[in-house]
Amino acid sequence: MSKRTTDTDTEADTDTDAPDIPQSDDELTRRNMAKLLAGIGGAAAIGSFGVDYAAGLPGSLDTGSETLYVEGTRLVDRDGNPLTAADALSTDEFDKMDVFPEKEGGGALVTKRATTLLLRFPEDEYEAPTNIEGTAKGYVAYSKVCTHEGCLVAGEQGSELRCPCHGSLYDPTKGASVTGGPASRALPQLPLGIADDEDGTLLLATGPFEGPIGTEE
Amino acid sequence: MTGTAPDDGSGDDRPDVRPDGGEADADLPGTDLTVRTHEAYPRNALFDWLDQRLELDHTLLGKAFPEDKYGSFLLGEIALFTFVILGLTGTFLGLLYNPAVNAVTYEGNALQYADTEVPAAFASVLHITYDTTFGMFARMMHHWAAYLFIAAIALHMFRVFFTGAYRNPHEPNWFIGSTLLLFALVEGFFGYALPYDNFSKTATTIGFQMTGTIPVVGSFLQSLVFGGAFPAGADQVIPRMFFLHVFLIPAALVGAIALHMAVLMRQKHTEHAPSSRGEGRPDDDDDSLVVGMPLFPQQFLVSTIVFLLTAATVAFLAGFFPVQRIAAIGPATPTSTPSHVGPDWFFMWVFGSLKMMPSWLGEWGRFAGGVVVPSLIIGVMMVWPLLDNPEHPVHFTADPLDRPLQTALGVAAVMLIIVLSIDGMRATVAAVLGVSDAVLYPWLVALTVGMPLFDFAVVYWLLKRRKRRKSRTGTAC
Repeated sequence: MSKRTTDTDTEADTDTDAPDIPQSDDELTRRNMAKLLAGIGGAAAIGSFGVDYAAGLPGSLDTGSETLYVEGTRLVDRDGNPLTAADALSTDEFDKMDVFPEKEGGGALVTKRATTLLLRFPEDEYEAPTNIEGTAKGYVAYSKVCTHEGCLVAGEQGSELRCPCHGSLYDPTKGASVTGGPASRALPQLPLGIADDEDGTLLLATGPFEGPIGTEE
Repeated sequence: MTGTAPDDGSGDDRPDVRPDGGEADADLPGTDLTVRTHEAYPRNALFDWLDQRLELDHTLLGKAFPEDKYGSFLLGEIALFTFVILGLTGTFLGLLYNPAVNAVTYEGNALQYADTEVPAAFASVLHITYDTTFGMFARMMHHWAAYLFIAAIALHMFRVFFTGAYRNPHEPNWFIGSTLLLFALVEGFFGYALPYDNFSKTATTIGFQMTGTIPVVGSFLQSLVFGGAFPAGADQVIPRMFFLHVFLIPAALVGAIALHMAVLMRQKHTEHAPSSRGEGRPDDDDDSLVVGMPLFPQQFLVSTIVFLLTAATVAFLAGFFPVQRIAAIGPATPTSTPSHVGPDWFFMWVFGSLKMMPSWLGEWGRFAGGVVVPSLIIGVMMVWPLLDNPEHPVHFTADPLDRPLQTALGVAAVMLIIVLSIDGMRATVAAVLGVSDAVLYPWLVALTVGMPLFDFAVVYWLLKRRKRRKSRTGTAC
């Protein structure tokens, strides 16, 4: 802006001193005006994208924050059948299955965030930092979403859970803490309990996951 | 470009000269630029008609293609031709693909999925593959052409790097070319997402997560590129991937390729060391003009053969080596990741970089492995001509053996990409060697850091020694 002011000043000076206004000064002013207008136009064009962004894009990133488990939510298999503590899994081998929270009115909530890994070991095998209060009859449950890049922990390697993407390893008897690979956080544990009602054998959650799921903070 | 005498060698006004025998020889060096194609083909009415209107002879068809001892100058052409094949097969696929993720019942020849509910995108790719005549072939050709496109670009860049063809005044085309490689990689990433099988879901999830690790602008970039969370918002993401893959990035690629060629036309090729000029040709040291075959008819015929061979190679690979067999992988499911998942080979090094970051780095490890390391490698590559920047224009290629520092750095960089790719295949390597991941990890870390350094040292030492000996014998003579 200061430059433009100077130009105008020069123009005024020449107006009083000499009758012929230098052509170049006049052009310079026009050019600056054109630059200003082009700047405003360009900023408006780019800004319109910003308006678009402010108007809705961030909301669309919602990864889903639906409530998964509360105290008393029953654990069900993919088809919505409740799981009984007696025969869901055996303690003999590295037995595991995918379980889901039961929706209100029945059926399984089958989403990525809700996918829960149910395992069973002899009760005396659990060590810190496992929340032993949160295990029930040797059952333990963790979120299946890897805390590294959000893949789903699938395989096993020895006595550990392995993520197929980048090879992070979790020890399920030690609170699913990281024992190898690039992940930096344990899989969050889901506290379990046994239902008092009915015939007293159904598995249910006694609260939500004890940490953020996957890469959520 | 006027047909005046050789200039000061600024690189912009060097005339084309063709040494293809005949009377043109008399006019050398470079005083008469007219390429007399229409004199050689006097009765071609179409050519005359076009020439009278577009001056083909003078500006376009006379472009000199310097002698190419090793055929390495054809790598760029192979990249161009695979891009043409990508466009053709992509058009076929794009007309039949359905970018939607709602569950539909598949009814078709793939028995495994007959009458089952799968995502619409996956169903449409099944239809293309198993229920459309030539559909499987077109898909495989598209996939293989993409592999060759990226491979040819990479090899073309190796050629340009190791012969120093990026030096002043050719830096602009190095910048444009490396941007092209970036676009090609991005295009590959978006295309991989489209079938919405369980591999592509996993790859896109990781890409989405990686974008999110960028500080401050991460979530803005996620919104901008993906348009929604993945996989939770796949119904928004997949249509956007489709748009980016079939329109925006291809348009950018076409633009960048056009610019690349325009700069090449304007600046002319670098020429192999001047010894390639024969008897009666312009002086060996005279870099004020380019000696080579004209585009038409000589180079045109060579290029036609290259195109046909490229097409044949892609067709052969597509016919006999099926890749990304989505029926075997299965549709995207929210609750599982396939156990043997992995990216296409050209992303294996990024995959490796992500895998190698130690756990204690936490969130920063994800950012470093997925974004910082790849960006550093690509960034140094892109700005390289600014780092190695001779003051005076160079019009001849260099012998890689005469450039110890650059060649050693280039070899080290290629080695780094190779060891990072090996890191990416860590589980396979462990299985082949029969050792556990944990035992292998420190060895791989050592290899990743040590191998490029070792290669740099060895190559640099060897070439330096060669140079010293050469200069000694040179003085002895």
